[in-house]
Amino acid sequence: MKKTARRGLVVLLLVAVVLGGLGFLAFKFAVNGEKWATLRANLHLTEDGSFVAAGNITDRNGEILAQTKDNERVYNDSERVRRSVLHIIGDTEGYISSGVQTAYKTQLTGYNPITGLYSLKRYGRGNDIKLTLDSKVCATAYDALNGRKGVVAAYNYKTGEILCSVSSPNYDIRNKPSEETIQKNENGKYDGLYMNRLIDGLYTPGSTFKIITTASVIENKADISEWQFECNGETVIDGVKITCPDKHGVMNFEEAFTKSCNCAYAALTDEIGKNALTKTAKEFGFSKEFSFGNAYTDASVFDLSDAERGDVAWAGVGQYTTLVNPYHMLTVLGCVANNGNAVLPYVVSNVTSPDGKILKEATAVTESRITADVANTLKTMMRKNVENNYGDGNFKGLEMCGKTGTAEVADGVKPHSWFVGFSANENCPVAIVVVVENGGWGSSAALPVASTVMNEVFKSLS
Amino acid sequence: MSFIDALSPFFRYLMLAIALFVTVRLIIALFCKKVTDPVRGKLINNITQEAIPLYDRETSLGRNKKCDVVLSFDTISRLHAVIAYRSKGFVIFDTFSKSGIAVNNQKIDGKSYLKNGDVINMGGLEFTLEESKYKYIKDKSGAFGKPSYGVILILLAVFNIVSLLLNIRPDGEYNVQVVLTYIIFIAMQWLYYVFASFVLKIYNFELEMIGFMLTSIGLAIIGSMYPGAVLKQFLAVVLGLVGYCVLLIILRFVSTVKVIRYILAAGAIGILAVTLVIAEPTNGALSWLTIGGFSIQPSEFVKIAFIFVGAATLEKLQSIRHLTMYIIFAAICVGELFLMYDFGTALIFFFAFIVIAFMRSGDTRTIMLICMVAALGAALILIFRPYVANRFATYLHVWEYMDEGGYQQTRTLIYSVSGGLFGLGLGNGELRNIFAAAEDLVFGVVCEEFGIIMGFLIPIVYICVVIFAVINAPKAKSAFYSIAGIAASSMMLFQGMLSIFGITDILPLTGVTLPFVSKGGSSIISCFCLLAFIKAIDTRTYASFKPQIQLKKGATK
Repeated sequence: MKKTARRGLVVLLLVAVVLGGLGFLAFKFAVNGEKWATLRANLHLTEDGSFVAAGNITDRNGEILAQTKDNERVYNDSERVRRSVLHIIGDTEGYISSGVQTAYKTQLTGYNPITGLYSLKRYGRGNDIKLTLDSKVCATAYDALNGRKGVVAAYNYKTGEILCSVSSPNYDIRNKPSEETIQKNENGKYDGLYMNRLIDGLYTPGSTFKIITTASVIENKADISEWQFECNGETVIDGVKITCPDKHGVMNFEEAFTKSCNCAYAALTDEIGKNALTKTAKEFGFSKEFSFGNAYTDASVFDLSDAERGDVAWAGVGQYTTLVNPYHMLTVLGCVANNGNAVLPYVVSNVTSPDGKILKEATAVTESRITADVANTLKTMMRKNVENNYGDGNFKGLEMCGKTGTAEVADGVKPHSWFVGFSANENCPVAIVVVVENGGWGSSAALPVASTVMNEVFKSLS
Repeated sequence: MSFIDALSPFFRYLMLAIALFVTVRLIIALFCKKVTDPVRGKLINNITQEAIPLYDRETSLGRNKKCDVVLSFDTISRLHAVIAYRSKGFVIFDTFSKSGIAVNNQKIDGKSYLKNGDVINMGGLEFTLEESKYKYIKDKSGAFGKPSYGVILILLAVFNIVSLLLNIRPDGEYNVQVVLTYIIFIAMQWLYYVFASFVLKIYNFELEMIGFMLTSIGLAIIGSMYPGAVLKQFLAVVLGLVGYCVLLIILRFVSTVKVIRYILAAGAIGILAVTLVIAEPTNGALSWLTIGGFSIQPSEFVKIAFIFVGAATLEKLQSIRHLTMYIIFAAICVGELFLMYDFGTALIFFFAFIVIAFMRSGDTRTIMLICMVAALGAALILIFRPYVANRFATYLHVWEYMDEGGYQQTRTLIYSVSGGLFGLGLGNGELRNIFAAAEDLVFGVVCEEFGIIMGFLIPIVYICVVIFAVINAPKAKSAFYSIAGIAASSMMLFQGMLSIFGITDILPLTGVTLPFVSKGGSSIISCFCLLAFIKAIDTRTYASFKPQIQLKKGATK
């Protein structure tokens, strides 16, 4: 009955189905392995829902910011440090999604598709992560913010290392307020509590945007050195009134920057036009999401596609619909400070296995944005601005370059207070961004914070 | 026992290496074996002098194209005759012929034994039987074909000893039962090797050793999870192996299976009916019987009867009436399983039924019709018993119901990938703490603790066994072996598929055990018995048993 037996070939259909299914399963394992293995439901990683498998997280000086002890995740002893680094370290429950403990879960657990979680099982803990942060500077910045909402971030514009990043509001991870309290959010105390404002914040830039407008004017207006303007406190462009807090009188371009004259900048913007300004904004990295470790920043918004002439003029002084992300602002400063080349900031310095092998080391990424000439002209203007306007007394020995901003956000609400700047001192190549939400004048709220933090940075580097 | 701790990283590679080497070596041996197909005799047409070769297996003659020898004469019935080569020599069966068959001018009644020189008349055609001079042909194993079974048994022993060592706790404490069980398990393998060589006259052990390998993986897991259950599991292996040997002996005598099959058919229907009536619900199914403290799952044993009954048609193979009777038998079995809410097993039975029915009839239309009726039946169940559909509610949505209906599947996936390719080491897993880990979820436990490579190795082994059966089926000594071997091997693969794909959310069914690996006495006994059907398909199995007639005649060697 050979013919009968030959019909057995039909079961090869089953073989084909099983092979197909196994291939599909292998594919699912390969694609989702990392995601599944690092889920909180994985009891290799968690104890009572808390992510205890992670290794140590230290700052640039080896200060332990987070570690697992006796199956419990414990944090730095100082509450100031714990609060100041909260958003960078993140929590173990994943509320702060961009935090290292969530975004670097795979690296912290030591998972890889070949050996799975074996290293974790063998050594009883995952990989260690060293950050570029200086926890002392962070604590100082936290103190300087003094409970106000906002963000302070400083980074080395030569290497890209972020030395300080504080987002407020924050909480003490050791005594987290109850979920109920957070939900209640009395007086907006916990607005955006889980958000790291450095990478997820978007603020109206106010006068800090004049750095970009200035760059665009230098690039597009050849006779700018001969340019003069008389400010009467207000000017009308295409039926739209632009106002200044004072009558600034007659001035040249440099003085317009120092006085932060809205009327002058409105006129200049109107002259170069929206296309030129849009082009410069793009060069500076607007509308771009930057990768921040394993997370992404929110892209800064600059969109003049529907803008009338008056709107464009307001955009030139940092109002209209423009929104700036603080991380992006750091790159803008880095670009001006570093001859037009922005070294992108990062916070994870390296990942080390429990037996001391370096598994991953940060490499700096540099973006060439503007010419060195334009950058250096801007730098000079910003330097003069600090010298003549805010005074070097605030930044002793730092050769500080900077710009304040007072960003109108809504009627009846205090404006956001900005300070952005960098030190031109070669021993302290650090740029800083400070935003104090609803803090009022840039020079009264953000500037003192920047001054305190920059002096601490200078101290730590020398 | 710090040295065990120190060695444990090495142990997981060692266990994987042994499993890979043993299975690959045995599968190569299975595939490389030469399949001989000796001609046992010839039927010579007295007028044309054309010769029809006759082999070990049955040869069917008739007008129908499905016959092995097509005789296109109006006087020949569609299914006229079958000539078989049995222990007493050639036999001719009259299968539904209109004009009948005459041997040496004497009309036969049903069947007649034949001897050399007999003249056979059917439908006006005249043939003379010419027996080949008997030559005892021992199948060769081919260049790579013959593995050193001693080496393989030693490797298996090493695997089991490593399992034993890993069961010793860091403080040096160990469970006597576990340690003893592993040791006697090793002894049992050697004992079987000797027994089969000398008593059963079997000289090839690929299939058994594949069974031992998979069982060793299962026992390693069971020993570390349920030290108290490992002895029971081992005893089931012994019972399974006994069943295997008994079946091999029964299967040798093809003529006796006819009687046995009625007993088995009645027994199968009966035991399922008894279970249905007296079983207490366990996990929503009525499939367990508790007798004297032992829980048994009768459906596992019915699997053996199911294949036996289906395949044992012999010369009546092409009879429609016989197929109808089998359809009725199968429908009763599957129906009883449905009433027990044991849908997984019902599906496995249905699959085996389709394979057997197709092999017997070769009729795609009948199969389609049966499938449609079955689909209709399934649809009716869903209409009248809608809660059955709840079992499928989380299918493809397991991550949305992570802590409810999709709990087992999501945990299986999470922990399978946690093990990586080489696993976390025996005993280091988390999946083992989840309900039914050693039974339904055992694939995930293997992936987590032995590694994904080991996990995938198991279904690959099932697949290779199926391919082996397909290659060997046309040369098997009887159509009975061909059908039973194909059905048993593909049933095993089908069950493995349901088990693995069910818990990984590729198929919507859980609660099926992984053949040879899962914890469960009934299941392991049934697996070894099914292996006997696959063994029978291998022409080498019965090669050493010479047909008696040749011995009587003193045929030359």
